[in-house]
Amino acid sequence: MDNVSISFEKGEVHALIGENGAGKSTFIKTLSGAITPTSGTIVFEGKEYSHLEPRQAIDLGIAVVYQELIQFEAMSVADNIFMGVKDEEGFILDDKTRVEKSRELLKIFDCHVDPATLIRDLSIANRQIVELAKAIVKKAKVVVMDEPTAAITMAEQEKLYKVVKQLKESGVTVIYISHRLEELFIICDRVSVLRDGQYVTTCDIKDLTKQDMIKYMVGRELTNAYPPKAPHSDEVIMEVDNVSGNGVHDISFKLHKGEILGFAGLVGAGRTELMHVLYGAAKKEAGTIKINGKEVNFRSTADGMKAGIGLIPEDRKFQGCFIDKPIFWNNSISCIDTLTKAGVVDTKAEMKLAQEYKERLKTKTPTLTQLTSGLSGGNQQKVVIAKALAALPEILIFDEPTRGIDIGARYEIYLLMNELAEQGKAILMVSSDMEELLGMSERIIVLHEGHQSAELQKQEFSQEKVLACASGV
Amino acid sequence: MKKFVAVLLTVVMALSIVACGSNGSNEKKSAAFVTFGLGGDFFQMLADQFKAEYEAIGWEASYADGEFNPTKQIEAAENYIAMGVDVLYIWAVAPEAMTEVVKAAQEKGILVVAFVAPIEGADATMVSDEAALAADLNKLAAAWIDEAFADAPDHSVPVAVFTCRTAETGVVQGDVILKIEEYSQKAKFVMEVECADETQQTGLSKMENLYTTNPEIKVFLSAHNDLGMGINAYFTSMNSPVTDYSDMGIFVINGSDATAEAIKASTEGKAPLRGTVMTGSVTDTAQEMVFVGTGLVDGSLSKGHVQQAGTVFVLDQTIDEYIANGTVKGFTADDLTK
Amino acid sequence: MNTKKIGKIIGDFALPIMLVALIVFFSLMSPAFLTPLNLKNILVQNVHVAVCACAVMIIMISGGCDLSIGYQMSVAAVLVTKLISVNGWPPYLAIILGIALCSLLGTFNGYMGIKLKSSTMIITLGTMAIFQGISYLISGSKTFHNLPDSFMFLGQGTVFGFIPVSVLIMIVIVVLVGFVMGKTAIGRKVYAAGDNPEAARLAGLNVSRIKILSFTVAGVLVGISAILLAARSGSADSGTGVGIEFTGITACVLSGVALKGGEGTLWKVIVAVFVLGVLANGMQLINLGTYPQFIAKGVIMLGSLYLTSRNAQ
Repeated sequence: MDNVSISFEKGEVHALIGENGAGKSTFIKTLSGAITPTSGTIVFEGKEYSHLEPRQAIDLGIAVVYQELIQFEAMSVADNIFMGVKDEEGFILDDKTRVEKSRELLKIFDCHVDPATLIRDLSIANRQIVELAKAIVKKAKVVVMDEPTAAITMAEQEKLYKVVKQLKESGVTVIYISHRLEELFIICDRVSVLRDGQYVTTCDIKDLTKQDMIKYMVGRELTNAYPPKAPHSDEVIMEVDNVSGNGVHDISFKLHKGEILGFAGLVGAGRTELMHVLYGAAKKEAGTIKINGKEVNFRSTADGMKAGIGLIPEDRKFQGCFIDKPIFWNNSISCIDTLTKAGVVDTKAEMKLAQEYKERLKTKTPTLTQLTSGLSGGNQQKVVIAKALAALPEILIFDEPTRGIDIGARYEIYLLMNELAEQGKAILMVSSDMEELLGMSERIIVLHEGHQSAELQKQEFSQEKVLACASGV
Repeated sequence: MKKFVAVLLTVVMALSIVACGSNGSNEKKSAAFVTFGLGGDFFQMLADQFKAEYEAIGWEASYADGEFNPTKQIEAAENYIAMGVDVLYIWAVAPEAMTEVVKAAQEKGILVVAFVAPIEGADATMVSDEAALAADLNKLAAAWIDEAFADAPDHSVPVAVFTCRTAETGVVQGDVILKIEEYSQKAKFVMEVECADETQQTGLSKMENLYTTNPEIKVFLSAHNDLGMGINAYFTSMNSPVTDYSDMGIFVINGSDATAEAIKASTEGKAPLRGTVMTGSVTDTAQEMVFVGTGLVDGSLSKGHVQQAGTVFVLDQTIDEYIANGTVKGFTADDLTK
Repeated sequence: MNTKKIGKIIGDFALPIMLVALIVFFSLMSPAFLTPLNLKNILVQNVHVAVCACAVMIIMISGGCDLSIGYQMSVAAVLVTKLISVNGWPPYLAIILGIALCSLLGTFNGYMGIKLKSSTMIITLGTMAIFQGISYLISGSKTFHNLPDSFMFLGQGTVFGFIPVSVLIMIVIVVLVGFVMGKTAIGRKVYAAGDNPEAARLAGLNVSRIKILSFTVAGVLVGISAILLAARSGSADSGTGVGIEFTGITACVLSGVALKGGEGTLWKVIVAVFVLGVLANGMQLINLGTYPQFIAKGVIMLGSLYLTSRNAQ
């Protein structure tokens, strides 16, 4: 981040947007005191600071709800809310009062979880609410929210918007970071844009369109968000008949070669769970799965891979790749047995493979020995895809393929998916991003509480229809 | 010019090596000792005494911690071979693992003495027969039992044996001590108390537990000094159930200085630990080591010599001599029954 | 739902259930087991283990691990007993110095962990060797005994004629540690620092200080434990206490103290200590050989873990 100056006014909801790597996270971390800026000042209520310590930021009234929710997993809701709050702690803690106070606070947000529950047993949305409650306890004057809607359901999003409005009405400044440009129109007053660590502009939201925002973020016009795709063949590659297991029931569909089949549903509807059954990561309890007309019964993910299925999991960092390992290492791990000579890994072949996929997927990296953790989200996702492709699958499962990936890189992933489909691979795609799902899929299967509630053809696609089916209406 | 300097340097170096070599032959003779390990009173004292005895006759001497680990011992031996000592003593943890290193030493002209544990091919071997030492313990205990309980019926005095079977010596000696009834007319073997290690704390805890089930046992034997010291600690502690030790006896192998003090206390009726047998005192052993080493070097002892260690008996009759001199001379198993 | 609840209860109370089961089993197998004398033995034999386990727990909750505890004990034990028996120091002075030294060693571990930015497990692997050296330097491989009654009273004495002093000390320490860890702000901060150091930092806590302090306090407990052990056996050498860290870590892990930090309950740790203690005592009373004892110990540990992990699933 370089030379960024933005002013925030009291009681406004100020959106901060930009592609991944634009410097938004760095910016808010300087506000919370998590990192120290190399130059520049922070002026808060007329007072100037060269940098802030975490303790100082708290005392000033700056609270940050991080996207990755940096919380005490094994501690209770009440402990998380009150940790580090000075005037609430004597030497001996009064847990009863803490729990009662927490209950009151959570009620403000229409949240009724027991404050004695451990944080790790809470849903993402409730965990965010805990962070907001924390901000209120600390009498925050500025609340920063980093992509609060990235991982929560529609209904929960509505609740969150309400909370943001409440905060605003009570005079709190909200700095709101999001990739979902549509929601900014609902809740924000002003928008600031960052690009490549530079400040671009600040505008009133009413003067902007979505296209404008994208233009500012990307630095060029992006006319078509979803690339066109050639129609699929009629050849059925996978046939799923009344499959149950892992919390889903009676799912039936046919998947064709070259097709992108979308799966919609609210969080908890069982989309990922279904994908796990199809891949062999969870047990199928009933029904049949046929691949190329042959019935298969997977006892493990190894079986699934052998049958030609590849999975790109929803959690890139923890399930998708080995984040602390280099690119080539990730690329070859799914087919390492084919790269050995007498059991010894053939490093040359390994590097050749990695180079091949790097070129094919246009992964941006200085070297193949680069650690995956050092790549941007989009390029990390490409490493994950390369890893899946290296096992030469015929069917690919993309679970939330663009979560947390910025607009420019998203487009590349979409192109890649189309290209794979056009090569004859079949794709199952799970996404919580409604626009993406409607834009990329050729058919959509909607799940509601573990059951299949609809199968929609391209011509029937509309947000309302999908939502209605997903909510079981 | 450069070439000239290089040649000159080489010549100087070669000369100095030769000089060193000739110098070396004039140097003192040296002996080294790869110990079993140094963790414990006895081991450390023996190593120090070994060094002292050799230095007293004008040799250079050093020892290495074997760390109870064959690999460490091999490494230590290799270091001494590289140093080129004259005599190398090895108290092997795993004798079969040391044969190669012994060969390597002998090829360098180093004389190897296997200490306690015989190693194949060693130039001399110093053994203390473990089983014989245990038998001597039984004789010592039997003499006391049969005298103290002279009026008791045969095989009526309950005896417990504390063993630790995690090392071979413990198994060999333990098995001999279990046969106490064969040595004593009055003793009755009641039970074996197996310990997972041979620390004083373990001896103490095991004795506490034993007392809950078998308070009638009066005599305790162990091949391990620290286990015996633990038993003694139990009976001499503040909340000991026993204060009159006249009908009690604890006998152990390889007692330490603390053991000697306990034996001294027993003569005044203040402790139940009455006696210990050992393969010579530390000083005796160290002197024997020097005897063997110098004998090999001057040729007075032939290759393959086996040095058998005698047993030192420390009990009420000999404790004062032991405390004064660190050893007991001229007291054998035959003197026990007199 | 119902079976789930039962499963959770079994998971939560796996160790007490195991303890009761062991007690019932050994009582049936040996008439000497359930006697006042034997129960006192079990308590007294595990006093130093319980105090050490408290130290291990605090360190593990703060997100650390200390493998050097055994040699910390060894250093304290030989120092205190040497000062008393050889140098003729009054016991109270030697004890204070011993505990102070131990807390210093602990602080050193914690400080190095922060300074070298490395896992304390690896750091303490190194300091373990240092402390071992210090211990042998102090002791010269000798055993120290001939300790005065006033010192031995701590490990062997009783009050009111039947309550062992060492057990009282243990109870006081356990209650104190339980109170501080469970009920006070500082205790809660230790949990926070181990649970998620970054979250703790952002909440304005001084994580480094909390972690170092945990090691310091643990050092004090280790020092006390060393003195209790030396006073009980009436002697100490450089082998005193060595290996206790594994018993302590075993008890902690068995009771569900998380290896990554932030989780752990003291009463469960103490119960785990006594599960191990009762096992060792009971197996002797029924006269089980050493080798079968090793196997039985392993089986019981896996059994307890099975009951605990059922809950987690």
